[in-house]
Order: sequence, then C-alpha cells, then structure tokens
Amino acid sequence: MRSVAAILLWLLFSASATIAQIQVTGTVTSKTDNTPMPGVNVVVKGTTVGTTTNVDGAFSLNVSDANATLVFSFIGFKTLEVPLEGRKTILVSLEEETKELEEIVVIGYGSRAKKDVTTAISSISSDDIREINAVTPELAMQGRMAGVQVVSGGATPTARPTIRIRGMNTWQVSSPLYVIDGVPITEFGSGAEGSDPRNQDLRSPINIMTFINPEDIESISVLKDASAAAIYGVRASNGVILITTKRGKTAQARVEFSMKSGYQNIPKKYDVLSVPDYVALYREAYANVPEATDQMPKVFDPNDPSYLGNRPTTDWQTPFLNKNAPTQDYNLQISGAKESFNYFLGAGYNYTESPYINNNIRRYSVTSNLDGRLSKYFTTGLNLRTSYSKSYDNQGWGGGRGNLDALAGTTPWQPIYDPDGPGGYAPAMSLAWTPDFVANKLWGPATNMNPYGLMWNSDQDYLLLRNMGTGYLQFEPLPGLRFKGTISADWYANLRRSFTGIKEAYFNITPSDPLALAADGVDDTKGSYGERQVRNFNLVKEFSVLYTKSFGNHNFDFIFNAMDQSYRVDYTDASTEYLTNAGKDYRGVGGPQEYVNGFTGYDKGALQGYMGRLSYNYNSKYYLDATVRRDGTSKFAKETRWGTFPSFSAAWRISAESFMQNLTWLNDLKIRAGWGQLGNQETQAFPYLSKINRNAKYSLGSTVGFGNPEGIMNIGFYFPDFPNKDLKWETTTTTNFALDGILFGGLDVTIEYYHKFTDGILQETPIAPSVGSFNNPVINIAQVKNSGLEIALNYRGNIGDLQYSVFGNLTTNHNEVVKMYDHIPMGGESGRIEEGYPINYLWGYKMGGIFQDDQEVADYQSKVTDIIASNQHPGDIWFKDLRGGPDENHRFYTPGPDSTLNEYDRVYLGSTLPGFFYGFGVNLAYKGFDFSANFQGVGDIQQINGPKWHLTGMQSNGLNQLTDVLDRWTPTNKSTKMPRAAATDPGANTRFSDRWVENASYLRFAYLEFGYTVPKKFFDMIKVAQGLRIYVGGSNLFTITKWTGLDPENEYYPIPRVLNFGLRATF
Amino acid sequence: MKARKIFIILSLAAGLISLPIIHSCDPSHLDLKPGTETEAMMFQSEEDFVGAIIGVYAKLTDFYYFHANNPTHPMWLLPGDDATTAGTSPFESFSGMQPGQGLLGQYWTAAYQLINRANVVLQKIAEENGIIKTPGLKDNIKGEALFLRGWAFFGLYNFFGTAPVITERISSLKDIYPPSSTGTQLLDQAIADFQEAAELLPVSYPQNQIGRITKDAANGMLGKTLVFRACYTKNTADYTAAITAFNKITTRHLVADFGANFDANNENNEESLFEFQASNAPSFENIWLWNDFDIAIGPMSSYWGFFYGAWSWWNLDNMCIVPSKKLLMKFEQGDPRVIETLDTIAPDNGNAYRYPPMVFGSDTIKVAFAKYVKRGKEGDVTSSVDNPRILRYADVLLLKAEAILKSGGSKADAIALVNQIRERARNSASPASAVPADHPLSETDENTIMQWIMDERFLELCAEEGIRWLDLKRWHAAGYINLANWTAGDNDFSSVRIDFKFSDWYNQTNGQMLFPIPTSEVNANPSIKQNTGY
Repeated sequence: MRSVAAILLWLLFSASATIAQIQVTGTVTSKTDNTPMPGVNVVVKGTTVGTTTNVDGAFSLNVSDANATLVFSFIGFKTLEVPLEGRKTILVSLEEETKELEEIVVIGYGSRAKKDVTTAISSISSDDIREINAVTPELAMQGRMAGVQVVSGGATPTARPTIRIRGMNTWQVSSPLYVIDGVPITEFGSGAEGSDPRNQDLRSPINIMTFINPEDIESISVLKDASAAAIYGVRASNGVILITTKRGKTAQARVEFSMKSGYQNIPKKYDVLSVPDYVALYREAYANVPEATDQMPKVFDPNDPSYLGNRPTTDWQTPFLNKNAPTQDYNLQISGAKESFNYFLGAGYNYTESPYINNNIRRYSVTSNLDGRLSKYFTTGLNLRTSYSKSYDNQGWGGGRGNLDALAGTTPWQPIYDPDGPGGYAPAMSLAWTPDFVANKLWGPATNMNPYGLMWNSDQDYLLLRNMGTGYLQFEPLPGLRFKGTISADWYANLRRSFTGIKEAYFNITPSDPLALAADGVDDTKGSYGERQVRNFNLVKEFSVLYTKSFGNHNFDFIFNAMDQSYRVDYTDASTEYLTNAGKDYRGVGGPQEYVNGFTGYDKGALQGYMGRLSYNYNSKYYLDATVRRDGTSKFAKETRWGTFPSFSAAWRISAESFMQNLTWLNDLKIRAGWGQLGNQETQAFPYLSKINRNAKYSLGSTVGFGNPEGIMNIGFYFPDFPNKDLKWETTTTTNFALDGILFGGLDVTIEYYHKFTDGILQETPIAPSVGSFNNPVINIAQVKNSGLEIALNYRGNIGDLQYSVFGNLTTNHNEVVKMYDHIPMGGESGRIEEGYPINYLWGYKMGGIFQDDQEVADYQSKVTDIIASNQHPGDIWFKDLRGGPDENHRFYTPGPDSTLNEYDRVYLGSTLPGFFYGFGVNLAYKGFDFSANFQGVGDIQQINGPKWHLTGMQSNGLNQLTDVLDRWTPTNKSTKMPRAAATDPGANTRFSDRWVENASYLRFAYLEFGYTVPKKFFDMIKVAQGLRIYVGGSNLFTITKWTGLDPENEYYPIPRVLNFGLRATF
Repeated sequence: MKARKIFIILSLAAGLISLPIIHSCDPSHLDLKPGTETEAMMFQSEEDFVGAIIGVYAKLTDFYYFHANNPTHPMWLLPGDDATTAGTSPFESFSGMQPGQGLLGQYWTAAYQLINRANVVLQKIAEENGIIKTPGLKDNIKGEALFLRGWAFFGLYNFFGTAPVITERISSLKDIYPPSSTGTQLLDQAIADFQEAAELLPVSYPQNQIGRITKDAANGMLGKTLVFRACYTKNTADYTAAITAFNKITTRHLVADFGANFDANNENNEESLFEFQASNAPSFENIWLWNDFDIAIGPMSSYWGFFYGAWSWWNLDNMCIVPSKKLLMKFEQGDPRVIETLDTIAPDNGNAYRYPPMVFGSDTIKVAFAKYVKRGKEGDVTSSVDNPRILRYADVLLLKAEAILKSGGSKADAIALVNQIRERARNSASPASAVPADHPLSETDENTIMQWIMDERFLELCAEEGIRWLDLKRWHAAGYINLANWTAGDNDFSSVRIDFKFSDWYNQTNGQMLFPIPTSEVNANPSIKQNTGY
C-alpha cells in the first residue's frame, strides 16, 4: 500500500520536473499603484505548468517553448495573457477589473468570470453593501438584485427582514439558506420548529445576522435557480445567499478606517381624535344603537361625576418616538498579502438606536481571515469571526402595545405622566387591599395599560455572543487538482435577561397582587427576574475534490463534495418571582425555592449531502454544467430520508462565434438555460414517529376533608401526532431561460424567465377534527408554482471626466397554489391558501356600499339576508352576496348569489405577494466628487391595513379612532365611504372586508449619497494617509404610494428616514 | 530522506483531509433520536396506563377554562332561557349561526381529541398482556376511558345531532373520513359506554384520587342519557332502564347546603357524581395557553369570569352572561337558593355597565349570577380552582322523577323526589325558610307534575352545564313543551337582545335546533353531512 502511494506520488511530481527547459523570470505589479503583487497565478497557457509570484511580485518559471504564452490571473484583476516571444524577463502590470465582462462572481466552491456563468446568480459587491445604513447586511440586497425581494423588518435595528427569492415556494419555511464563507447557517426557530410559539419565544426577536458586520463583506451572491443553488443543495430550495468576507490582496499592508454616523426619524404618525371628538363619536355610537344605549359607560356622560370628556387630550404617540435616534459605526481593517500568506483583520463597533424608545443594539465585532501556503502543495486557512452584541429591547412589554398603532388607539383622556404616580407615570389602575386585593380601572371601562409606566418598571435585554470559525487544508498535488478538507463551527449563545418590578400592577389592566408574595410570610419582593440562555451549535465537515483541466479548447472543471452537518440547540431558563433587590447589578435567580422556576431542553438535527458537478466549456463558447446531489436528513424515516436531485445548465456565447465578430456594438451575448431540482426538508421534527406529550395534567383529591380545592396534580400523557412514515423530501424544480449581453461597450443586460414548481410540499394538513389528532399529520401533497421575468440593466460610461453608471432591475412573480391536500383550503382571512390562488391571499367580504336610507335597507333585505349582521340601519355597510354554501356539486361553496350573506360570501380580495418589484439608481463621479441615488419599489400587492381596521371601526369605546371617522355617515352627512358610528357594530361593518384592503405598492427613494475623495496629490505631500473620502447621505427620503397608513412596507414599525455622514480613510 | 519527509507530510495531510470524509460518509449520523419519548417505549408498566387515563381527563380542561379569552361556555349557557347577555353572540340571538363559528369548532375538536385519547387507552388496554398486575386496575382504567368517551358522545349528540361515532383509534390516512351518525347512534354509543363503564368502575377511590370516575357516576350518566334518548325516541323502556340505573347509585345524596355545590372548598362532596377537577398549574396559570402546552404553566383551571364581568378586557362586545328576567321572576321570594344563584349589582360597581338592566314595574335593576362566583367561594375568576359540577345528585333525582312520571310509575314518588329538592332548598338557610314549600303528593295531573319537575330543574340547575338548553330541546322533542313559537319575551327565552331571531333559526333548521357541523370538519371530511339549514 505504502509503495503504491509512493509510486503514484512520484509519478505525479516528476511530470513537471523533467520537461522544463527555459527559465523565465519577471515581476508583476498593480497598474493602479505600481506596487508589486504577490500571489499572482502564472500559468503557461494550455498546460498545467505554473507558479505564483513571491512577496516582491517576482516569479520564476521553466517553460518548454520560448514562444509560449503566460497567463497571469489574480482575483479582482483582469486576467492577462502575455506571449513570451522569446523573452526571458518580462514585466507585467495587472489592471483591476472594472469591466462587467470580467467581473468575478462567487458561485460556491469557487468563482467564475461573469461571462462564463451558466446559472442564475445575482451579486453585489462591498461598494454596494457599505452604502446601507443598517446593522445587518441583508438590507443591502433590497432593490439591488433581480429576483430577490427584501422586506424590511421595520425600524427596530434588530428586526429580521423577510427575504424571498423568486417568490414563495411553500408555506412552512420559505426563507433562503445563508452560507457565510462556506458555512451554512442554522438557527433554532428559523425552521419549521419555529411554528411552535414556545420555540419562537426561545428563538428571541434578535436577528442573528446582525453578527455579520456589513463592512467585512466582500460580496453577496444570491443563487437563484437549482443549477446554481445545487452546490449548497441541502436546504437550498428557497435559494442561497452566499456571503463572502474580505481577504488580504495587496502586497502593501492596507489599513482602512471608516466611520459613519447618522440620525433616524420616523416621518409619520397617526392623526387621531381629540377628547371632545372622541366623546362625541362614542356618544353618537351608543345613541345610534338602541340595544346598546344603556351600555354607554358613565365616563361618556357629562351629567355623571365620573365624566372624563373634559380632560385634556394626551398625545400617546410622540413620547414613543426616539427623535434623532443615533447610529454610529466605526471600522478598522488591516489587510495584506505576502508571498505565501495573506491576511485580513477587522474590528468594528456599531451602536444603533431604534427610532422608537427603549430599543438599541451595541455590537462589537472582530474578524480575521488568514490563508497561508505551507509548501508548493499545501495551503491552509483559518477564518474566525467573533461578535458580541447587547440589544436592549424593552418594547415587547406592555402587552404588545409598544407600537404606534396601539398607542394611537389609546383613549385620549388617559394621561401618560403623573408626578405623583410611580416613577412619574400615571397609573391605569387604583389598587386597594380591603382586605382582598382589588384593582379598579381609573379611566373607565376603556382604560388602557400605560406602556410607558410598564417600560419604566421593566427591563429586557439580549446578550448575543457568537463565534464562527472555518479551517481548511488544501492539497494540490498537481496544478488544477485540489483536495480540500474543511471543518467549520458556528456557536452562539443568546442570553435574555428580563426584569419586571412590582409597580406593574399600577399600569397593567390585568394586574396580579404585587403583595401576594408578602402574604406568605416572606418579605416584600422587589420584582421578578428571569434569565434564559439559548445555545446553538452547528458543525459542518466537508471534503472536496476539485479538478480543472484543459485540452486545447476543451475546458473541464470538476467538483466532488461530501458534507456532513449536525446542529444542536440547548436552552436553559431560570426565573424567580422573588427579588431582594431590583437594582440592575444585583439581580439574580435564587431566593425562596417556591418562587423559582426553571426548565431546560434541546433540539438537534443532522444533514448529509454528496454533490458532484461537472462543468465543461468549449473555447468559452459552449458551456455545460451538470450537478447531481444526494441528500439525507434526520427529519425523515430511514426508508425515505435520502433524495437525489439533479440539475443542468447550459450556455452558448453567441458573441464568441466568428459570424458575430462584425457586430461591433455587441460586445458579448450569451443564451443560457437551466433545469434542476432541489429538496426541502423543513417540517416538524420526527414527523414519522408517534411522540409523547407529557404535559397533559389533571388534579385529583380535592375534597372537603383533604386539603385545598387545588388537589394534587397528576401528570398524564398522550400521543399528539398522526405519524406519517412515508414522508419524503419536498422538491422544487426550477427552469430558466436567459439572455446575458453587453452592448455598446457598457450596457450590461440580463433578461431571464424563471419557472419554479414545488411538489410534495410538506404540508401540515388539516384533516377532519373528528379523527381526534392533536397535531395534523405532515403530508407531501401540495403544489405551488412561481414564474416570472427578471430584467437587469446596467450601463457605465463617461462624458469627459464625468463618469456615470445607471442600473435598473425588475422582477415579476406569479404565484399560484396548484394543488392542496384533498383540495381543502386552509388559513384564515388574512392569509388564505387555496387552489388557484396565490399563497396567503386576502379572503373576505366585498363591500357594496352604505345604506343611505330605510328604503335601501328594506330593498336589500328583501333580496339578501345578512346573517352576520344582527341589525342593519341607514349608515351601515351592505355587503355583496356572491356565493352560497356547499351543495352536491360544490364541496366548499357554490358560485353565484344565494340570497344569504354568510361566511361563504368571502372571496379573493388581493394578493399579499407582490406581482413585481424593482430597483434603479444612478452613480456619478466627477474628479473627486461622487453622487449616487437609489430607488426601490414593489407593485401589484395588497395588504390589509390593520390599524385602519380597528382605528376606524367605531364600535367599541376602547379605542381612539383616526380622524378619518370625522367624515362618518350621519343623516346629515351621507358619506358613501365611512359608515355610521354604532356601538357593538350590529351591522357587522367591521367584518374582514375589502374596506381595509389597500394597494401596498410603493416607490421609495431608498438612498442618496454625496461624496468627495481628497486628491491623491494631497497625500503624496503630507504622507499621512493614502486616501480619504468623506460623504453625506440619506436613506428612505420619500415614498410614493397609495397606501394610507404610515408605511406600506411595515405598517407597525415604519422604516425611519436616516441622515448620515461618514468618512473612509486608507493608510 | 526528502522523499520520506514529503511522504510523512502527505500522509499526515491525507489523514487530516480525510477525517471529514470518514465522518461525512457515516449515514448513521442521521439516526437521531427525538428529544421526547415515543409511543413504542410506552405501556411497559402500570404507571403508563394510569398516565394515559390522566391524559384523557386532562382534555376536559379545554371545555372549562378561559381558553385564551374565548371560553366555550356561551355555546351551552346562552341558548337556554335561564341566561342572557347584552353582548353579541349567535348563541343568544340565534342569528348569525354559521359553521365557521369558533366555539363550535372548539367544542367539536376538544370532544374528538378526548375521544381519541380514550380510544388510545382502550386500544392499549385491549393489547395489554400481563403488565397490569394490580387487581381491578385494568377494569378501572377501561371504565374511565369508556365513561369519558360516552360523555363526549352525549354532548355531541345534544349540540350537533349527527357526528361520527368513533370507537377505534384512527391511525391510517385511509381512515380519515369518518361518516356522520344517523338517528340516536351517538346516544346509543354513549349508553353502551356508560353501561359497560358502570360494570367496570369501582364504587370509590382513596382520598388522594377523589375526582376519578366512580360506578355511581357511570350509572348517573347512564340514566341521564337514557332519559334523553327516551325524549327523542319516545321509547318508555328507556325511562324504566334509567330508573334502574339511578337506583344503582348507592353513595350519593343531597348535601345539606345548596350553596356547597358551587363552593371551591366543598368539591367532590356527597352530592357530586362528576366534576371537572379544576386546579392551578404548578408554576403559574397561563390562561392564554392550553393544558398540555407545558407542565409548569399550562392551565388546569376553570373559568367563571363570564358571570362576573371579567370576560373581556378590551371591549364591550362580549358582555357578561346574566340571569334572564324569566329566571328572576320564577324564584319565589324567600327561596334560599336565590342568594346562592343571583347577585344584585350595586350601581357603583365598576363593572355594572356590563350588566343589562332588567325592568320590573318601575324598578330597573342589574343582576348577576352568583353560582361559582360568589365572593369567597370561587377563587380567581379568570383561572378559578372551583370545579364545575357536571353531574350532581339533584339533577339525577329530578331526572328520576321525570322517568318515574313518564314511565307510568307512582306519581307520588315522582313528586316526593321534587320535594326532596325543595326541602333541601328550604333548609339551606339558617333558620330554615318556609319556601319553597312541598308540592302536594296528591296531585295526579301528569302535566302539572311534569311542569313542577321542569320548573324545579329550571331553578335548581340554572346556569349549570348548559342543562337548561338541553332540557328545553329534549322536552320539545318529547312534546312536553313547544318551542316553535317562543320569542324573546319575558316568559319565553327572555333575551335582552332585540335582534333575537329564534323562530327564524327554528324554521331554518327545520325544527331540529342543531348547531352546524364546524367548517373545519365539513371541509376536511367529505363523508360528513351538514345539518339542515346551513
């Protein structure tokens, strides 16, 4: 065995040694700054003979042919071919890549020149990424990539954006896979397990992507079709977002410092009623409804001592805004490349406050990426990334009232502040012990909790520590043949610390007795406190064989990869209701045992995948890529857990054909097509097993003579599942046709049609409740189709010294549920899933109009009986009778009116998935000055305007209303849009209807920036730094939309307007 | 030498690189075990069988707890003429009754999950072979499972009329379309279950297990279900069988104080046959979750806030369930049951706005129910530990009176049973009250005696367990009363809702007065037949 290996090795290494004849030496420099470039690949064209330059940019190479051509390549630089023509010493200078044609695209396990890409990949570079004003990198993709829809999670800096690549494939989990420097990310709660509210709570609201400092990112590539994403096949069916971080490139150490600082503000608030208007509205609402007139709370009655109508109006919204919320970002990066070693070290600090109070994130991040060449045959590298962030998030408290919508609805007569109240906040309740604990509402039946008081009385923060590391060893026995082993680990711990003080009872309208613990004979508690830690661990082991070979014009590229991933999450929770000291530094879980609670738990999973990809191109003219994956998952039963997923893509670079050479305006033209399949395994854990739930409990033994009425708890169990052993991978099949071209020297065009078909959707199927299963079985059954067109344009040019570029992209998406289990529709009014409609469409009643007089009511009622309304009067809305109940021929509803308005009359009201989305922008540079502006938008999308729904309902006295209701129907103001005010809403005007559905399309001026780069001459004189750019910018400057709420993208946490300035210096 | 060095390095490298390969290629990495136990591991000990039956009991919580501010109680309390509400509910106004109505789905789902759990226990008991060693335990558990299943069928029949009769656990996707029952199949199955349970169950339990189902409970429910079936099928043999079942009850009798039946400190007393054993989760009750959500916080409590103005915290849509004017007028002045049943709301009570005013001559008063929520007896109204009495002996005695009367038995015996109830009522005050006086045993007019029974049930059992609505419905079927023309008026349903539409609904359902089969069932199960009128 040993001798065989030795012979093989000898054969391999002797090949290059025996043929060498002529020694060629030379130096490679960078055209930009004339510095020597180490690490440049130098290869004799058509052979595997090659070397790399040393620290001084020098190389020495033996060639067999004095007229051979040397090929110089280096990432980020144009590849240069230099014919030797007999020379033995050559000086080469490489030009940095600027032209689109040579742009390098990260495709996973390597990169490729854009012209050679056969699959659907969008990418952005660090220049685009650094423009964003966000802690987290995902938002950099918004509006910049065709096919990639990014919906901001709102103003909160730690919120998670929603990302959909080419539409929504499935309804369990349709988020893409993130791969950071080759490590597929896992997060407990982000998969199907997240549909369990318990797990969602464990997951915490903090976006774990905030651990990636956008400044560290070199590029983001999005793999959109199966052929591209197949490379990271396991979990890749929703697309893959590949994040590649920076590495050292230049011989001279490069030190870069950047800082950015900004201010955020929320541009809009809700217009709500003043106290007099509010009182008048509800007096009218009660007067209008005879059966409810008596129910009018006394606080609305001017003749009653408890009348509140003469109180001043409180503005509940403004105090929630954190005016000029600062953002700060500082980064220091050192990078360089030596002969056999390149390095990148980065450190960053970010502090971002939410434009709403009581929410911020502080992040410290450190990165190091190192690559070293051990010998001619071995390369090794290590990436380490550590990030620590502390997020203060004290808005969740207050029963979810921490948003403008809820605050706008607060009764306007209730005060926020009271100098005599706890902490200076006005209580919502008066508390008494007489002798039992009694809490009475201070502001009438419609008393709201005071979230400001609750926030003062509580604390909640999250400490997130994350370490991610990748180490690899690469063995390259022959030029072009590489064996690579990689081990990556990603570990993070998220600690939540929550504190609630004892004054909560004053502000919470469902208080519990704060002194209850004192009654048990122990001292007064100072509050309750809990700590919860969630630890995620993700281990990825990979082995790859990569081989590149050319025979004449035939170029081959082969990859084999085996991957094993295991992940585990552990959580620990401890809390106490008894704190001896509420001070921030003195809190801890302990104290009397009976007040302490705790639990622990874990979850785990494993994946394996084998992938082989063969890429071939003939003379950069004809291309073919074929990939086969075989994936296994721990989610399914042994018999069905492995799936095989093939994909193919092909391209023809027509412009490389000789007959096209005459077309001088056409620089490059490529037709490509792809087809492939990928699997999705996201579903509840172990759906093939009948598991036990041991939480079912029942008390026994409570009798007169035997203790208290609580009895003794007995713990039982039951089997909640309906196991399905036949469950297998959900498969998404993608098909693309595309045209990539470069025209007129600078116009870069991609037009692509895509079609995605998801089959065997892992659907938690609503089977008949009479079966009695607690959980619905997961069945591979539904089908969803997504199709559309992507167009991306980019033009670069110059007029004298003015350099400019313009870009634009547009994606259309048609989403349709093709098949459901037994055709049964599922989901509620705000997200219905039904055959023939887009996923999560809006489903409700259609408003016909407003009854203007009794005759209209009578006419309507002679034709239609509205059984949802208990009574109808002039001023109420009439709804359209569109469908009837099921009959022999129609299982779910009968089309056409049936004289009864009931739940069957709910119809399609709009799609919550956009029909198209787009982005465009311009960049200008003139001498040292630069300017850029970006726009972004979505179209053909409807959303329910939630705040409008309950803030114009006029049915209960518990909510203040928008000023829109001032135009309500009255006998003298016969409005056709706003119905009458009616307590208890007998006409059911507030049912889920198109009245609340609005067009949520928008066009946003996403970003504007002016910059100035100090001329190089200046630094040549002072020699302190090499470059300096200063800039000012703004985000979210204005939005054009028909949406009547605060923000069509995120109504509840509108996106802030940001003004910022910054500088970037290199040394 | 050099070659040797290279070789060593290469071997080392190969080893390092191949480490991941060796690991990656082991498919057993995917053989993970779930973090919870599985069914295959269970029923290896007696303890497991006991745990399984506790799991069936636990499902009762779904019917009686706060249910995330959506308690099921209005479904059975509001249709009766004993209770009303000013709030909007199809169960009060009989308008807008639709298959998508949330409470119907909630009740239906809970009932079938309970049936499923009972069927699992019955399956495992049938498969059991030598693991249960304690004498009688196997019969005991089987009896409990049968009883609980029968109780679920009883409810399904009364509210929905037709529903699948499922007596075996469904575990294959081929069997997920169970068909609707016809006629009284649901009651027939309930009777069979109670009958078998009565044979298997013990007479009593040790102190720490009080609350489990006894032989008396099974005979009580058996008799009750027979009386119900007699009303629907007009088969008097059922009345006779009911009397036989009732006569087998040996350990139950009326307690001295009527009010003790609603007192948290007097649970499982001698009048009680079957109660939901309300308690509190060990850590704290999170009433927004469900019983089997978590051991520490999943609710174990009952809910009475709908009597108390604590129903809803953020709007007036869901107002209290209050006594109807008919009920207020029916009580004799001085009946000691009044103060245990009704509570006058003082005008300065902060919650008074939730109670609709009732006009009596020139007086307008607001009245609440006191049962279960009377101060000092109820515990916390949102998560109470006070057990709902599902079947108590007073109910049994009145059913027995009805069965005797309708099967041609001794009328004096029937009247005497009613008088037992009245006597206890009188003696519930100290000193004893003169009212309600005994009815004369000499009365021979069957209709008069039946009216006495009906009136006594109305007063004695009002606002408990939906007894009144189920009584009205069966008496209508038996022809003792005629609901067809009942209105919202003081003497009929006594509803405060002016949109009350009983006759519309009565006609719509063709006089069947059945609730619609929930949409979730109809959509997913093509074998189900929707009830008339929906």
